Amino acid sequence: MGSRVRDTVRYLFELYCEISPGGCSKEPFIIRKYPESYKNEEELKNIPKFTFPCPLENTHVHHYSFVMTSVDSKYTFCFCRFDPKANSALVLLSHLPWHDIFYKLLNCIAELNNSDKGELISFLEACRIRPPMPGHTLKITYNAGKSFFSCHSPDTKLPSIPENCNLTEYFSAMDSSCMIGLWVSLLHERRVAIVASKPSRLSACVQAANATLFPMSWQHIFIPILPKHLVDYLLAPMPFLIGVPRSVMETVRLSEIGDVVILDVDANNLKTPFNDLDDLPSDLVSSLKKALSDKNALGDAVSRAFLRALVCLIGGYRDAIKIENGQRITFNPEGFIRTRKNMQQLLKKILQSQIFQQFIDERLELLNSGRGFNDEFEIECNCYADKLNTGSGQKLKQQYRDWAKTVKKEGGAFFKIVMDKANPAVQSTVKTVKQGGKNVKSAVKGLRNKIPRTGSKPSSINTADDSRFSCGSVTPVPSDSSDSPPAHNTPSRDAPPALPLDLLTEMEFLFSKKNIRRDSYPNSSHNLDVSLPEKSKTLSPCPPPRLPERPQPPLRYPIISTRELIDLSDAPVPPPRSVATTSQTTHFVSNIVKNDKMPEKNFHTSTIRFAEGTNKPKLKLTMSSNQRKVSQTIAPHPLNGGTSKLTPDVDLRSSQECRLPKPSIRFINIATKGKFQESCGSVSDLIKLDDSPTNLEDFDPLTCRERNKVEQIKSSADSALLHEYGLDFSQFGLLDHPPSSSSQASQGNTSTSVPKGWTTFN
Amino acid sequence: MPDMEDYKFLFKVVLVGNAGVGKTCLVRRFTQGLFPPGQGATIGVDFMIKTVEVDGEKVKLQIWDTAGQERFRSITQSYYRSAHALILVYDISCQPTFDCLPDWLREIEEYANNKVLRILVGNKTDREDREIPRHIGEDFAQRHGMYFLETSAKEAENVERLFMEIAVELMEQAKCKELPKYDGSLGPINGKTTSVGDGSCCLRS
Repeated sequence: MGSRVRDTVRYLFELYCEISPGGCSKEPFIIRKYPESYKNEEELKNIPKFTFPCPLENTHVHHYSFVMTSVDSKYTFCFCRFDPKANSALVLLSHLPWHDIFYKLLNCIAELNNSDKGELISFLEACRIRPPMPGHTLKITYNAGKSFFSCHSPDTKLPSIPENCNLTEYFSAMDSSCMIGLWVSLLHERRVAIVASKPSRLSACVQAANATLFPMSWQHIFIPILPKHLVDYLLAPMPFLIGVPRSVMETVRLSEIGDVVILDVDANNLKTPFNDLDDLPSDLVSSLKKALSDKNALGDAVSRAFLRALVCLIGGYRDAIKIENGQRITFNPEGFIRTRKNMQQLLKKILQSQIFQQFIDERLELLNSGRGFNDEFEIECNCYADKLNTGSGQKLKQQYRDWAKTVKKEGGAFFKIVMDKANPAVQSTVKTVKQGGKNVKSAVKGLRNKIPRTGSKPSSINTADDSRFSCGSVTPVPSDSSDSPPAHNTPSRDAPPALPLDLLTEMEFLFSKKNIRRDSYPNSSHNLDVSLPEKSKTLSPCPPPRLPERPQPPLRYPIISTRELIDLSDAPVPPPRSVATTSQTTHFVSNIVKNDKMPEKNFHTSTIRFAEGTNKPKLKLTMSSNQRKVSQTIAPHPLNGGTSKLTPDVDLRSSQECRLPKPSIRFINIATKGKFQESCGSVSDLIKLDDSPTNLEDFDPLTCRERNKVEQIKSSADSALLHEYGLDFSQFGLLDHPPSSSSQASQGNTSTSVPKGWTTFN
Repeated sequence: MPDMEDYKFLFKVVLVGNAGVGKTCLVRRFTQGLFPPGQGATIGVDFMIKTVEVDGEKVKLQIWDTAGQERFRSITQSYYRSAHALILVYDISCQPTFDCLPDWLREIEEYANNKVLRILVGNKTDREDREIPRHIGEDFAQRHGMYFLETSAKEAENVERLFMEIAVELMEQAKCKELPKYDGSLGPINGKTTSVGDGSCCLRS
């Protein structure tokens, strides 16, 4: 895959460390780190040097970032905060490129570091959990409840000003011609050095410049801040994008570097030995220039300007995608060059570039695996195609839909082949989704009919590992327990075959997400109710929420799946609960203990806050998890079955033990209250995560656009669509798409064309 | 620091060839793990530097290994663009690595500066299960205008010689071409140092 950001992210951050700049004779060194057990020696050895790549001004606090690239070419992002007063830098290593969030987190850490080092550890401990799912928020209170850190998982929207600090810095530092010149150089895969005296500005500009390539990404040497000892990397014969501190640049013999493009940020000046700009059509340049010249541009105007320019250049790739029934989808380079009559020479060059090839490979893989894709780029492509009136948007979509249909008719063997080659994380997700491929709506409606009565055999559904759909399959709860609260559910409780139930939960989850303000704690009964059992189940494998033990997440946790597994609530923490809380916590813990046998996969965490006052459990876990695992509901936990309450709970913590069975109740409630439709609607939206909220022709080939007809298009692409649904989680923020259309979700898909192969991956 | 070293020429050498033919071993053997000690893990691309002396002049060889690029389906022009020499490596005990040579060559011809110095290297002469006779390799090299050498990274056989000959050849080229116009508009030219670039002329073909 072209992306160089890891798709498996276990923790919000990997490592925290405090680093001393050293002295005149001493190299920078790590003062302390968390977790102590962090082992990557190679990284530990290099972090201090990267953190202090050059002398830093002593006048203010610096925020900057650097990147380390592993041998498999994946990035590790390192965020730094250097405070001259403390004479040390705080550094966070993460696999997530969330600059703004980590700078914020570093400020919190600095605050604690200066006041209470003891609490700092607890705080870090609380933070070092799975990153929040897209659209979700993690909130951690500290300092006796007076301060908090909250982080909202970034979505797939384009970087915007002023929220995105990198882009904001870049845009304010450079004029339009420099930005355009640099962008063109990157497209030509030149050797590019960006020079600035301040590391903060440097790293911001490098990152922002890289982001202008979206949907492509830089594939070559990438060093946002070049430490002095690595200066020879500027001599690399292959393309690079390197941020060079001015003091480091001064030690370099320019003559040795050769044909390199140099952007001097401080001087707002771009030097290039090439005439790359001449390759671009002049109207493209002028419109780009116009868009970038508005120095007051806010929002995603700047990002979108670059994106649109890229659409003009490479958006035609869609017309070069060759789809033939029963065959692997391929890309036709000649066809691509023909897509833009006025710039064929340029397209030939682009075609040879690694960033473009990588982009195409990635797209083909998504298509061939039945996942499809949709992002801002495709939306703009559709727009553009409409303008040109080539109709390519519709055409490709239709073709792909047919293709997928055929594939499905053939029993999905093709997908399977493709998927066998895909990476394991993807595999398991696809598999699960496939399993869940029965039509969602029908699953909702006809749960009782569809679900086998016998106890499910989780073993057959070994999605267990890290698939976000794993819930049902791993539910150890006796499926036939008789004390499931509401009678309606009786049938379904019998046998939770993981799949439909999972989907169900998904749907509910979404449903509540859409309709209930997540932060309206007391009222979000849907949310809460279901989450409770979740929680207990989830938490069960983990140590009780006491410091200093930290919940142990599963070994491998693809971010793809995290979304469903963790629901981090941004609910405002209720006012301090003193004594009562303590005791409740105890219950909670004991409850957890009871459930201890539950598989680890279901770990959920939510708001974690430090208790205030003196009588504490130091940490309290506030869970408001999403409502997946209806399966659980359906097979209520024997321990809790009898005690269920229907009242919406204002404070989860207080009533956790009794509320486990609630989810099922809720489910029923929805159905009976006539909200069913609604929930279905949201369900379908969900499935069509890809469906953009706009009217634009987004590229979601499997999505049926004529809503009225949806019902009639029975069978067809639903399972493939569900793949897509499941897999697209790798793209953050999909959940943010407002519900737009109903969809095939509602098709009564009873036929399962899921080949057995899907369920037997592991 | 190396950039402060006193040397007169700097040449960039890139190794290509199938995975497992011993590219990295060749480089390591030659540089003996000298500078820089494996930044591969933090930069994703590794290179080695060794300064040698030719005719009393110091020549700095910077040797870039393509190992990090193998994730690419193909290595495109960007990779070869500013290399002075390309070493194409195969494994004498592994026919498939030899069979791939035409593919590599096609790529090189398509993307690399056509004046780049090219060397064909059959590595692993220490192996007893040779599959490609020496003369086959030689023929191939001759047909395609390349230097040819067989080496053993393991036994350090011909490794030193390989890089020394490259240094000598590149220096010849540099001298007969005078200064390349690499630097163009880019700042002051340090008269003491030169690199061979697009302008190098003494090409053997």
